Amino acid sequence: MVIHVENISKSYLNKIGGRVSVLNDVSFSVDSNEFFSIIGPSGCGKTTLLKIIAGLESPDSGKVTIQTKEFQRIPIIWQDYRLLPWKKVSKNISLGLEFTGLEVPAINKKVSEYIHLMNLNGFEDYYPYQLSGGMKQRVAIARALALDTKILLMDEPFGSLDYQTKVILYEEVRKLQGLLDKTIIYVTHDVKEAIRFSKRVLVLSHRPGRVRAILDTKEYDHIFDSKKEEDIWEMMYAHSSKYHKFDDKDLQRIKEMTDKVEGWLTPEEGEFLYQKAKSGPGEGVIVEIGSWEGKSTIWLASGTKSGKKDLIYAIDPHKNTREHQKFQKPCTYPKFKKNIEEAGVADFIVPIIDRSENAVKRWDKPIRFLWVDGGHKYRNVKRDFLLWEPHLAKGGIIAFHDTIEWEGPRRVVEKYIKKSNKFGNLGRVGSTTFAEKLHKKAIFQLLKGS
Amino acid sequence: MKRFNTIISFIVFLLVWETLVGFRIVNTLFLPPPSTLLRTFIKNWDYLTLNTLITLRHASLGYLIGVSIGVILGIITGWYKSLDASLGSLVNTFYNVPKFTFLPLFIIWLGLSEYPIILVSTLSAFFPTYMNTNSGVKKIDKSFIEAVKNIGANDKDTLLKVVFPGSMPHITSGMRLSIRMALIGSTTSEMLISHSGLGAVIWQSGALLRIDMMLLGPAILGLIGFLLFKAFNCVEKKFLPWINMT
Repeated sequence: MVIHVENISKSYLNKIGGRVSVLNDVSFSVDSNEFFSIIGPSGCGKTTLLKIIAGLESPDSGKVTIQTKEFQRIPIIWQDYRLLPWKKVSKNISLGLEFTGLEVPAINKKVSEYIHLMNLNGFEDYYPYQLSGGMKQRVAIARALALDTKILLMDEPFGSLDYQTKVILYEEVRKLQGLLDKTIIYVTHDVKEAIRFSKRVLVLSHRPGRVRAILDTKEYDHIFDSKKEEDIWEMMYAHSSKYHKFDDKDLQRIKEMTDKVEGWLTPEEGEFLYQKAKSGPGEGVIVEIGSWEGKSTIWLASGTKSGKKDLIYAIDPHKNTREHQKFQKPCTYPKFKKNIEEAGVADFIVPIIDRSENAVKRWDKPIRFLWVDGGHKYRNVKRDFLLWEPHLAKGGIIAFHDTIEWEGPRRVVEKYIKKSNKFGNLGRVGSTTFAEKLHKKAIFQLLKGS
Repeated sequence: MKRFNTIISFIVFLLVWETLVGFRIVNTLFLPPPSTLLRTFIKNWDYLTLNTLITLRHASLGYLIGVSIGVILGIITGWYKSLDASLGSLVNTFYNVPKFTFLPLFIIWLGLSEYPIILVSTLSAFFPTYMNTNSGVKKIDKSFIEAVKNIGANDKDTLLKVVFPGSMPHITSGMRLSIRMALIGSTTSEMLISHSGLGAVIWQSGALLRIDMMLLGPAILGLIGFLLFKAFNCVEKKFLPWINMT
């Protein structure tokens, strides 16, 4: 055992002076050279736990014991990389080494070693802004590895990367762990990932985070299926009523339903949504806002194409928005457009929604059905849309999880729904981390039942 | 294309001016045409250049001193909260006062020399840089600080390797504003107490009713300000390429 975490509790002062408990009596131990995963819903204190282990924060009670021969830093690899934008790749990697007081030639040697190890050759003189997300995370990993510590903490390191990059990097980290004899604590909210890659998984409950279980993944090796995944979800979300608007019966239905879910909604289900929308007043316009690559627009629309012609607006909010610039994502609009066009589901594709009131005013037609889902990165765009536009959604609004966690827009939408909407549904489940398909299916199902 | 538009609009402006005066719509006594201005400039170019250099001397000395103090003080008050509450708010009070109003005081302190001019220019250049640096340090992304502390940075490392470079975008925008302020500070002071410098040229021309000179002075100042601004942007782009990317 190298890391002992004993009875850690931690709370913060919130804005109105109350205390919010984030971690409650958390204890576990991690073996030497173990790949140990921690999963839990968003806001359950995973990051806080890592910070406490790394010594960046101190717990209210309990203690962390690290057994190493000498004092060592415990580097964290962050989800948002945290590379210094003013330093080139090589300088970012050498940063931690400079603090150790090592000689310059020794630092340079190490840096080039880790640049090679992380396949960053040729990128030494790039600035972080010139790199993709995956490359940035490679640099961040190299920076942490270069410190040559026994223990490495990873805070959802691949959370903001696309699937392909994620898989590649994950494999590399696994390889490196074996190669370099590291003890890794890996925080994630991806159940499958955690089960598949670590020996043991610590499941934390919703805030305040408590230890729900420490699973030995051997048991799951052969019989891992969605049922098991369900169990773990159940563990994470049980008794977190604060974030549920659905009652137990609903949850039961969600559970039953997710057992048979694969992928997106079927055309029949899309058809149902369409029928729902059609019964609303206004012109036949269905709008989806905030589709990353247009997938959900396609399924939303697929039900409407069976012989009927209706106007479907697919809106991509990612272009020319401040959000977009902030995250420096390459514009996805071309991809979005291509997907929508190939599927032939939309009559109009609208590229830009900016944050101003005027820009959204171009919607002169009432919208029958407005679909607003999570998408945590672009939530501000969606929030603004909800704020400015609810009067246009004559038919119905479905708003999901984090979009409506903002007090302001939620109130607007709720008010609107109370006042004039006949079948508007405001779903509010869990948080973004809960698999998206679950949300969509769940709310769809509830809609159908009502 | 943008540059082309600028040049065109400039030429049109000069042409309209020239025509208005040429057709005697406006009296040349009050508004000489650009051609006259050009002639005056060619005739007096040595005199004007000399005075421009003097103004530049005042402004640049003031700029260098003011900006240096501004950056250092801004970082210190931005970083140490207790100092910000005391020293910082004291400085903030003076921010609202036109620096030019201190000129009589400086004359008494330093005598009728170029020092009061430089000091006014220093004060003028100091404030934008100070204010921006101060807020830049305060606004620094705390996650960077957390990240470097995590890999072993002490307070000095944090200040030098994160806080200072991290507030660079704010510092440079302050320094950019300071160029303008230093020029304003030095020319206004020259108007009152100097016999040389562009400010003095403009002021003395007023007494002699040399309208052409009075127009040339501001024109040269405008040009210098513009060129310095451009040069500053070029330097920033060259040495801090990441600034506009984050």
